[in-house]
Amino acid sequence: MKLPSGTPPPPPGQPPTLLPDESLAAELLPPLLLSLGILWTFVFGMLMLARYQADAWPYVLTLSLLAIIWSAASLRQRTRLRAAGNILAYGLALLPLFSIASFGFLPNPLVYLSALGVVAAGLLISPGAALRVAALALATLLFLVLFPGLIGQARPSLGEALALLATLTLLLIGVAALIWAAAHHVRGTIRWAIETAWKSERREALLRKAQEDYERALRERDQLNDRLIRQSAELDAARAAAEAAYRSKSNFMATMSHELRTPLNIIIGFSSAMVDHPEMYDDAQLSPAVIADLAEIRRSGQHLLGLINDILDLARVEAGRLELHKTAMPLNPVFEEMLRTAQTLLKERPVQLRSEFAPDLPLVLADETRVRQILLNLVSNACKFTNHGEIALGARADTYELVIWVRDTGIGIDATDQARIFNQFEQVDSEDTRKHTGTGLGLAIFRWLVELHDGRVWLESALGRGSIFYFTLPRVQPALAAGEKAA
Amino acid sequence: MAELLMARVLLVDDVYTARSMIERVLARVGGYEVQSVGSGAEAITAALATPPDIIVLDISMAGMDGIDTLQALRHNGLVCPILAYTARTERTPGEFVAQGFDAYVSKNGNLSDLLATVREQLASH
Repeated sequence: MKLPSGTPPPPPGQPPTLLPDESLAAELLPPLLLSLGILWTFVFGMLMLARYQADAWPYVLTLSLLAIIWSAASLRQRTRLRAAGNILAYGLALLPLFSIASFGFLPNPLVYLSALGVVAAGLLISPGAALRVAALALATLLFLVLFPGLIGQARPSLGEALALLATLTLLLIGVAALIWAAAHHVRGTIRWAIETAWKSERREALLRKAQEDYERALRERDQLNDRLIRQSAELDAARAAAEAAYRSKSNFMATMSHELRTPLNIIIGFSSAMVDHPEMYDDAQLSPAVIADLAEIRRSGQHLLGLINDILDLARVEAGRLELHKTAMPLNPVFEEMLRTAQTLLKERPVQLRSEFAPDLPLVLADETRVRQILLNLVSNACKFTNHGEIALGARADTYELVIWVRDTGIGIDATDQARIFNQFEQVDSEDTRKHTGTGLGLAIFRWLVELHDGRVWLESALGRGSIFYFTLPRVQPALAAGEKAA
Repeated sequence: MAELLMARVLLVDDVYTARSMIERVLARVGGYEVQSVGSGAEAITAALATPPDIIVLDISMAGMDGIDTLQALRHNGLVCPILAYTARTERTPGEFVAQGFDAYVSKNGNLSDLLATVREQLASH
């Protein structure tokens, strides 16, 4: 089915519909054919009644008209509406011209009936067709004017010919033009309507798709929301479980701490009592051998207590529970105390103790107990591993921190071991260390404690020559010191 | 000297074995008259009944701990010296003094330290 020119193609997948032109044709054809049929019946009836015998032409024309009507009707039946329109238009335009054969050029009112064909062409076929049919009819007339005798027509005079040509031209072209203009306008409107309809259908399709996408997105969002809620709930549960575990571990540590220390204190206490104050036991005379063994029991008990304290400290540090009570503290008293302790630990060994610090060291911001713990750790290690030479305790004041060291001329630490010893549970593996019982935890705690004070630790050592353990503690800033003095 | 020998010591510790051992040390070696109780509440009752010359107070006790007991004792008007005697290492000696104790002895040390500190406190009060 040929589309009217200039209209956009229908969207794919659309069922074929009757286009406006065709539906117009479909509507017009029945009444047109009916009226033509009536006309023909009337004319043919008249001819027969009048017994017209002048020439055959009227009968030819009438029968031709009948043929045209009949073929148009049958084509319309077979919905070949375009063909039907063509037949009718061209037929109605050209047939009246042949009436010239019987009735001459002028006066011949029948020729003007070809205007019907032009109108029919414009309505049934297309506006352009009206012009084409008009042109064809005029050409045929011109032909008949120029070549007399073709269909038995007489030669017209120049005046007749011109008059007829001019009138018919005006009529046919005028009608064609009017039809074209009207149809063109209608066409334009129809095209616009079709375009708009297609556009809106496209938009509707897009909108539907957008709607589907939107609904899908909403569904996804709901699913994500559900998942989020579930995960939040799981997170809360996990956090609650973690806090409960943490609390129970803290309680455990607190309980264990007390539980472990109590029996140990009794072991240490009683063995101390027996060793130091045997008079408590109803004057029983304990032999020196018994007292020596009791002293061993006491020493082991104290060692075990030290181990337990270290383990609990480390456990507290790992749980983030080691609390420091930092104050602006002076180091000199602690240093003096450490030197006295070192003297006791060294006993009679040929090791010299040196102090390498000023008598008026500036205050540091630190937990006093922990500083004592750190220094005791370092000093007792130094005493343990030095058999001759010297042990020095020193400090130097820098702008923001105090650098403190413990130096010994002991067995030293191998380069490969130096990196390891600050890790927990690792002890330098050697003859010397196996001779000395000791815990590997001490240095790990040492590092932890210093770092908790925002300090640093480092080591210089050479195997066989000795070691220097360094650490820093932050100095008290002037404002804080002033506050302390005021308090 | 005679007053010291007859000095009354109130010992407070909730662990029976520890309590009996320290009681024996204080009585046999120090020569003091020792009364020992197992809780802070009992300590207050005993101290109010017969005021002691010095109180040796364990810190980590269940129920009323050493700090609470100290405050209750002071609140009840007891002015005798009170010693903190404990194995806990979380607090420094200075902090115990700040809390109101007159002295601090660590259970990790020797028993002689306890005896010496008790003697010191009795002499200076």
